[in-house]
Amino acid sequence: MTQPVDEVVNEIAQYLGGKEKEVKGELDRYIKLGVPLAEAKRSVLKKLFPYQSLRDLEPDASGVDLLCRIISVSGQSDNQFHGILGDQTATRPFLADHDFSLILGRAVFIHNASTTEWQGEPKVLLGPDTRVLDASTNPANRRKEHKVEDLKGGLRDVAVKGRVLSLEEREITAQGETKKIYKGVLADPTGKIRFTAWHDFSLHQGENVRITGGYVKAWKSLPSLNFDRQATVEVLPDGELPPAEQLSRDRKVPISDLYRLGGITGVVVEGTLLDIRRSGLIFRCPQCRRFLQEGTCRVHGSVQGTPDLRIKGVMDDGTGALAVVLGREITEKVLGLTLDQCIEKTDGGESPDVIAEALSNRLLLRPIRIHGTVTSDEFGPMIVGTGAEVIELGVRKEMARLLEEMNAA
Amino acid sequence: MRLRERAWRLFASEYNAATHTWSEGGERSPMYVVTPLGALVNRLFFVGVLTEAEALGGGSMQRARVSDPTDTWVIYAGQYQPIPAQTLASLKPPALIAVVGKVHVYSPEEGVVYPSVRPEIVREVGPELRDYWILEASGETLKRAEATSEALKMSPPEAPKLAALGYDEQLSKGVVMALNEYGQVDVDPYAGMVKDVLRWALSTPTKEGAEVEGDEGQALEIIRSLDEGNGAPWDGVVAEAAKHKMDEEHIEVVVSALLAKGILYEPTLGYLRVSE
Repeated sequence: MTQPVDEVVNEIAQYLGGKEKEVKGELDRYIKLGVPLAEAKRSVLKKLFPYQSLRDLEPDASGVDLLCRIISVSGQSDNQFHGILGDQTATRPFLADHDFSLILGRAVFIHNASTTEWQGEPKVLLGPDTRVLDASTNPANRRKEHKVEDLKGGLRDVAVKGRVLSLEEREITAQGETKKIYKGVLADPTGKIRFTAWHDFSLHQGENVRITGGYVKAWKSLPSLNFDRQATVEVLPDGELPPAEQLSRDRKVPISDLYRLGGITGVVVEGTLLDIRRSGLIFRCPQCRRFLQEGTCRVHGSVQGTPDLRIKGVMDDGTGALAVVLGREITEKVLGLTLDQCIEKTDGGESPDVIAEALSNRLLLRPIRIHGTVTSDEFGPMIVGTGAEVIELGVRKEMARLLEEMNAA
Repeated sequence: MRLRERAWRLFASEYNAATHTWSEGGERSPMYVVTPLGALVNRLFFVGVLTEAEALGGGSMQRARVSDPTDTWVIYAGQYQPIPAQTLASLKPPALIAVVGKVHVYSPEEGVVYPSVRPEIVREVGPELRDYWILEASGETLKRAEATSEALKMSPPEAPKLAALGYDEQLSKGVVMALNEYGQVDVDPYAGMVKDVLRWALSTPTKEGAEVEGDEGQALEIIRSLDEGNGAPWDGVVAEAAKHKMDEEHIEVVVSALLAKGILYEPTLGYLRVSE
């Protein structure tokens, strides 16, 4: 849905304080040549409005016009907003005296701002006479609602609808203040994504919400949705989305898909464990939790390690190889022993091979099913398991079914 | 850093029918065997019956023959595969084994290619794992046959078009390569082969029907006799086995096999019990 031309003309005229005819004339020229309206709007504004580059700004100036992007924005008390503006030449801090609906990542025309000096550089002030006009050239994108599976790292100003599957409150310290943030998982029928709400939106577990103005960051290809004070959260009726029980089911994917997807929250993979190494009773650096090789941490040198149990290996389903990491809880279940019992059995960790061998005997070449979250780096995809089970090998039924299918074809 | 190669599931007859190999070029790039159905194989996984193992050339190399329901795999374990070589030497045919390995070809003259396997892992396994592998290999073989049929409909066959139909990138590339190398590939015999394998597998006895003899039977007797309710302790079993002329290494191998087949299990680490 794009804005009708008259609306655009009015918007610009208001912004300019007149010049309707000129604006309409210019716009028409672009549109006749087939330029999309949003692009035409931007070009006309640029043409009719000489704006300064941020680098050339002087302090204590008035009547300043700018074309720039909102690099960061955060709220303060008294409903003032501050943040950073950026264009191709420089970045500058700004202070806005009221809510201009500034959205992170959005490009804007700023008309009639002023500047002051702050810490040796010009700071832009958006005051009561300042006008801000949206300059993004993709209005369609702005209105588009993303599906969870479309959310990839780097996306800004996203709108997404989902159910809050889990939610927890965390306290963080930023700029000397403690602040409550909220982390959880959001899901729709296409998938799940971890989120962090940097502002209290009174979210509740189990609720359906539409979030607008969020942005997506990725770590090791695993996307996570972030939204702060600048975003809006709308609660939707329960019927908008399938129930939590359905949405929280982990999706089964072949390993070859994981190469393509990179990172994914809440997935289940089936395959055969073809390699197990550096597993069983291991020791970790007490400072950074890294795996110790012969009592030495890669970063902290020779240290007294803390014991832990893990299974680290490679799983393969014929379509690809996936690195697997299973933590203490799962390892204890597989062994039928607790960490303390393992320490005893290995003379306080002197001969850990016993445990590693037991794991090898029990799991190597076994078909298993792992639930967890996948991330990717230069070594390929890796799953950190939240649950693992040996696949029940009652395959005769499956074989019979396959044969039937073939005969029918 | 190279990503780890996937372990293709395929039947011996498809592998042995390959007469082409491919490599990206350059010293470090891996070699792939190109099968008629488009598998670009560097690593593979199969389950079959070890029928023969012999030491070659002064004992450093083991050559073994492993039979799956379609044809025979030939394995060579040399000085760089010491653990699999040892396992092959110690197993007594016929033994059901699983093999994970890398491709190898022997090409005595231009155009003549004998594919074989260099094992990375060799383990004795039970019939359930063979069944699971047959199901996997059947499914994967059918997928390759389907992809080849689709590619044959295209002129010319193109990898992106196959990928658009849902086949993974590597397979799509392999199928196009296979058609270029092999020309027209007849897909029907492979489908027929899979049907035969499935029928055969469905007709074999399940676990309950299996019998245990020889050293394995002896081991089970020892374990039953030493089990006082919590399982038989390993060291007790080893000591008792020595009295029956089975040395420590041998009884370990026997017990491992029984564990793998599910006939024995460990109620707690280091204790053995017979499954009822």
